[in-house]
Amino acid sequence: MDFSLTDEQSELQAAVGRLFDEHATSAAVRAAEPLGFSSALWRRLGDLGIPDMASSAATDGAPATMSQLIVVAEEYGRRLAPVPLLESVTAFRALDRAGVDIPESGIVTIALRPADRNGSLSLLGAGAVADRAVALINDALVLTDLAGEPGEGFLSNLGSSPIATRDPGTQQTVLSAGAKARPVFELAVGDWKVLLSAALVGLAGEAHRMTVAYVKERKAFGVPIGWFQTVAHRLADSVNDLDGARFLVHKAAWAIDNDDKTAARLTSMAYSYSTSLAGRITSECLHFHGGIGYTLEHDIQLYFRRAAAWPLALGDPRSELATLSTKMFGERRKR
Amino acid sequence: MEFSVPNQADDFREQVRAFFAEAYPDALRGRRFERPHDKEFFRAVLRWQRQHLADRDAYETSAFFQEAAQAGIELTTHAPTRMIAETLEQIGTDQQKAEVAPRLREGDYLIALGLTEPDAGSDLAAARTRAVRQGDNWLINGEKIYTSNAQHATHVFLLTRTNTEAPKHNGLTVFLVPIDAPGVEVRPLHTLAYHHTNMTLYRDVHVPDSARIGEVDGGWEVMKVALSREQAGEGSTDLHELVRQAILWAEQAEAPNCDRMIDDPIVRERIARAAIDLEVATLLAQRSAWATATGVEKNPGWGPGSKLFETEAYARAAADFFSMVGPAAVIPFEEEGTVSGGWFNYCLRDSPVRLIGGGVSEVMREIVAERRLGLPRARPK
Repeated sequence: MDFSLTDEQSELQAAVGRLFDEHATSAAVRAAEPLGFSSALWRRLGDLGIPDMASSAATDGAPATMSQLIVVAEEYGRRLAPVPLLESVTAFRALDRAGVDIPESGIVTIALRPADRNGSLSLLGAGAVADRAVALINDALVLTDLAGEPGEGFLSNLGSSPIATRDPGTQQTVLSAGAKARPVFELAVGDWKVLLSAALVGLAGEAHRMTVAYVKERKAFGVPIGWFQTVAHRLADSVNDLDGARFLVHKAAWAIDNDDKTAARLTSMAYSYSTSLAGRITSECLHFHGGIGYTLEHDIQLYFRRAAAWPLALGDPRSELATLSTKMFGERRKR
Repeated sequence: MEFSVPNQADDFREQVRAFFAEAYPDALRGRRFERPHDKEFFRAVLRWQRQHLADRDAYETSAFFQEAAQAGIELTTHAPTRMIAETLEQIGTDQQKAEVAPRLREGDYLIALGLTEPDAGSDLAAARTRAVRQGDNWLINGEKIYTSNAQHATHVFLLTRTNTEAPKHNGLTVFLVPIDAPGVEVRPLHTLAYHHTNMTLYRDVHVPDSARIGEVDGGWEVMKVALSREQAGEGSTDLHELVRQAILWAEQAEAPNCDRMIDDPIVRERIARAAIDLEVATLLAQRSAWATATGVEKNPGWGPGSKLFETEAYARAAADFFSMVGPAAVIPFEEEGTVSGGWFNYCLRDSPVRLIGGGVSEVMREIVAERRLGLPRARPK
């Protein structure tokens, strides 16, 4: 048992952190709104080997582990980086599992929800910038191109994410078909859940850090507002909860990397816990900023909006408790 | 980070189970909630911990306590004795290291903590129990409250005031007072959670200077060492057993609209939610155990944070499961018709005790806010 980052994880964290500190500043994040995509930042990430690191083919058979990818995802969340990182990494891992090489160019995303009745991929994450998608279509998991051009169908949204409803194109490679398709798809969704959880830990952690700094500076009634116990105690609870969420994410990633039988259960736990925690902590952090917190001038609103929006990509996160209970207790027996 | 279960973890659990099966006296079985005590078993546990748990990792440390809870065994008497043994080994005199600490390790001595006073509550440093030097001896007068296990103890680890002029933290001294010293009185104080704690009274109690731990007026430094041992993280045991009991109950209980209660969507989600809290509580406790085992420097907020999370989660689950199991939850363990051996009834009664004992939640938050987040100290010095 080891609760410290490995040297590899620390180095990765430092490298990605440096890049984001420099190029995913609040000004850059704001400039990329409302689409939520910076092609310059995406190129720089590419130069650093991200997201290709998730692919076997692109790394001579030594792809990054989930334990490494969550470190990148946490930094991404911390800086609200306007790039389709989680979607690309999840898609690359899905391609890897099927033994399919990643496309030479273009952005690949993942459709977390199956195609709808009309065959459309509705509110597709990174859909406004992607060229291809891994998607479950007619009970087959495929890599499909997308009809129309990137940018088409963009819907401005609370989280300033490049969401668009897109139709699958005609060039499709089957990754998995028949009875296996669904479980293979679920593995990809599980990867995304853990990556999103890591991103939310980074996001909420940064909102918390900003707020702790603010309540030490900001004075009311002649004292720093962090002196008041209702403020201090809630921030103390939150830092504890954040530790818990981070450990759950790391343990889930460890379990996935090691094919441990607890992987599915821990994935559900990490996702359920961090989705609810991120909303609660960012609301609280905005609140402790007082009036300035709800102005668009202050950065805390950038965090508040994304903490609310990101978890909805897959649907109501509350339903994860039902998923978790199935993993813990099996299917429900009806009388 | 790395979370492997150690090799032979199942063997280890088997070993723990076998130990408890053999060493735990039959007469005590089924009475966990009353915290029964047996001298030989107390010694056996300390010996076993010393022989088999000393070099184990965080996973195995928590496994030991989980197995105890699962076997219906309460181990509250051991922690203070081990904690003071370690304190003496670290800062005791040569004589204390050579003669007293080994007797604690062996279980010849059992320690109760005499810290809190009726008028002071969480403010330990406000202790007013007086110790006055008289030649080679000290004369002690005062009273302590929540001196748990004093009815079984051989000694009280007693925090006294030796200097009334100095600032409150600089006028304290700690003594190891024999419980049978003339003038020591133990009065039971019955609690909501079946077991009882005590008041201890000290009237003209004489102890030799060799009973002093640490420097005169240096008691607060001793307290820091001792309390850092207390928070080394054995946590999450109660929550673990509570969740296990809830699952057992739900798998057996009949349900109005489905096969068993575990098939009820609301019941299973409530248990799943508590299971997430349990996983978090376990990880937070294991971090402390990992840091202790590997010598990693602990952030001062980790131990208090772990205690806070575990007990708050336990209290939430206790209240939730109490109502989940229905009307018979009100029947205590010794009555016919009790549910799950009275576990839910007991935990509801026990959870307020846990939120307060060992450091009340608000003080835990204070420590995290001040020492981890660097927020301004709210309480007066």
